Amino acid sequence: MPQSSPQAVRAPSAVAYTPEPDPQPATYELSGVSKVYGSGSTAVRALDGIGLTIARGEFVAIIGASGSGKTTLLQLLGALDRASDGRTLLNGRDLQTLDERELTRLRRDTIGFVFQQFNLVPTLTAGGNIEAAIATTKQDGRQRAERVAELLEIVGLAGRADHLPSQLSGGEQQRVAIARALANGPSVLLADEPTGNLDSATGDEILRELKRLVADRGLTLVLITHDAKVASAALRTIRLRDGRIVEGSN
Amino acid sequence: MFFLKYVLAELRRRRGRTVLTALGLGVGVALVVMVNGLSTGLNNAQATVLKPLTGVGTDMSVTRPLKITTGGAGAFGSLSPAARKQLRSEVGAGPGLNFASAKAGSKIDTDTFRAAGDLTFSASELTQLVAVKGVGSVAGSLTLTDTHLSGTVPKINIKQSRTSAPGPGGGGAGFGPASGSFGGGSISTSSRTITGVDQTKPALAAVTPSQVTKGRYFTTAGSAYQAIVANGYANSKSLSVGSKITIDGKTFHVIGIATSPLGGTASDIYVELATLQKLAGYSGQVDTAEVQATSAANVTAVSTSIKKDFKDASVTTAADLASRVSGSLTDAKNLSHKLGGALEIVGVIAAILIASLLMLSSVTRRVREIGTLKAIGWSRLQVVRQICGEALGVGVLGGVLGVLAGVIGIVVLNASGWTLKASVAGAGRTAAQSGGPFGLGQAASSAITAGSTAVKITAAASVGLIVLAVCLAIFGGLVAGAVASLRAARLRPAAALRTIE
Repeated sequence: MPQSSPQAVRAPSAVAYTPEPDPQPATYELSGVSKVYGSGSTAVRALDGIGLTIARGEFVAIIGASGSGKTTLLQLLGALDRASDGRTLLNGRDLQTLDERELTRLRRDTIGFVFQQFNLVPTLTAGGNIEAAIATTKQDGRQRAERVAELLEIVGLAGRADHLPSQLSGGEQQRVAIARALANGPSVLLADEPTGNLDSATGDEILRELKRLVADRGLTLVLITHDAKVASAALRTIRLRDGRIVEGSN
Repeated sequence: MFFLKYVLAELRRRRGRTVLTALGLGVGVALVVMVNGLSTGLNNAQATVLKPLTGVGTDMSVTRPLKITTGGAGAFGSLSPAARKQLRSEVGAGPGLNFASAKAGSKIDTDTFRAAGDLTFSASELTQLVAVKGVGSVAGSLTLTDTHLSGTVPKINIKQSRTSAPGPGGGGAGFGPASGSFGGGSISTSSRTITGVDQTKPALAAVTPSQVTKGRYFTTAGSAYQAIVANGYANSKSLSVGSKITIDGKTFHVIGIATSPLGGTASDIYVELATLQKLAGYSGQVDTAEVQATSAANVTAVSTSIKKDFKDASVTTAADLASRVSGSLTDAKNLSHKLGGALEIVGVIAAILIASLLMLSSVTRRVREIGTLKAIGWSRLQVVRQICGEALGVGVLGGVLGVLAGVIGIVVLNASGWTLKASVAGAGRTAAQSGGPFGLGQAASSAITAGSTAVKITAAASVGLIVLAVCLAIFGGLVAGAVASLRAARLRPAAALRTIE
């Protein structure tokens, strides 16, 4: 079995990328991370010995063909799943050692997710979907309402609080999803093809929005995409093939 | 509260699923309401039939029946020595007229009273009955057969010669065949039953105010010679309120006409107990004690105590009398008793199963949503609470729908005028009655009226039943919610998010 490359590949646009010296630990430090689904003859190795460091405030794009392990990697980074092997550190904490309750707290307080399909609750309004994320905290109703209004304002949907997802355009739905991801002030934003279901113009708009938020809030953004144009917006692009990080970004 | 907002949004916006699941529970609840309502209706119908048997407030009747043994010789040979002794004292010279002393051609008009079948006992024993633990109230009554003889004494000419042949005794001289004739007279006999009731305790009396259809009930301040007559007797004798009847030479005013409903203990005439006792020479004697227990739950224990404490007492409870009722009403009641509970249990289990499957199906369709909630920081507990909250809402809705359907079913059933037949086997006051020493039989005694009647079934749903049904639906919803939420809680967020919907 070939050895995986722990090297990250710089995006063409990221000229001479050198993360600034930071006394704090990197956002992510992965070493020898593997993920195997199933067992025996039906076992599928989705990730194979991934080694990766993502600095605080970095915008990283992960690209690769379908089945290359992009989504699996994102799920491990998002504490949605556990690696079969290796070590995954988030802000210095080993995700492998955390119990379910701690992982839940981590997802609530530290990580924000944006999905390709938006994944909004269809029965809740735009405001309700954002509140669903805040409802897991100890904020009271008034505080939640203020926070929802603030987030909708940030994503430019101030007048759409009472609209159901079915009453919003794709771009608006994704903005709601971004607002929901930001609801609890995460330090990491994980986006799984956030522009994949949008037309080109709306996709660009969403990408600009994400970049703005990352810049404004100092978030670490890890984004999966098939789209080279989207990947080029990142400071660093990581290409996956057959569950391994491969050399080269294009 | 966001949790509530989310639950309501789910119930409102996934209306089809909500209503379908609620209907699943509602069917079970409606079944419970209808079966219980019907069971109540059947109970009420049976109680209607039994009411005249038991009296308004009577839980049991205590009598001291004649004890009959087999193999005795003669009319009295089958009686126990004690019963024979008491009967002898009660009967005295026997009913009728002593023709030997009657003068031919003279007019007679006389009443003779005899106990209607049960041995009488002193009214003072009622005080002992009151002292039995669990006894609330006791009232005595006395039912007598009044044999009325009237007419002209015939001339009797009987000749009988002595013979030398052995008589029936086996030795000595016997009597030859007798010959002679009756002539010149005509005597008619009639009998009727008269019950003396304790008018101070109308609820326990042999005739109750509710049975009086015309006129009024006894008043304590009224004349001692007031009578209430049974409807059938009044018709046969052309009596009405205000009529006068004569009993042993005393004139009684008919103050009321009473029905003798199916299964009722019927006498022809009801008078005040003290009046009858005095008139018939049974001062201080009663033959029945109507007993009311302090609570329905005490009836069996009280019955046992009375049988133990009072020698030769026979205790007839409402349950004993209920066994006399038969017909389609009883069949339906038995069916309801045997199958009703099973039907309810099966219905409720089926409803909960259906609701659980629908809730499970709903959760399966919302796997990605649940995965998303977990991804944004929802804990297992919060997911379980959400699903259970929705199930609870469905349960409440199912309860309301079920109760509505059940009540509508009951209304439709009642509107259809469904009737069942109730039959009551006739019986004398005691077993001794029909074959007793006097041969008077049931016709001349106070008896349970045989026959059958159509009873309208009126199903009824009580508030308690409705509350129970709603609670059942909520319970069903929670079970369904628990089943579904356990599946939701076990979902791994990564796997849930991979699900294609």
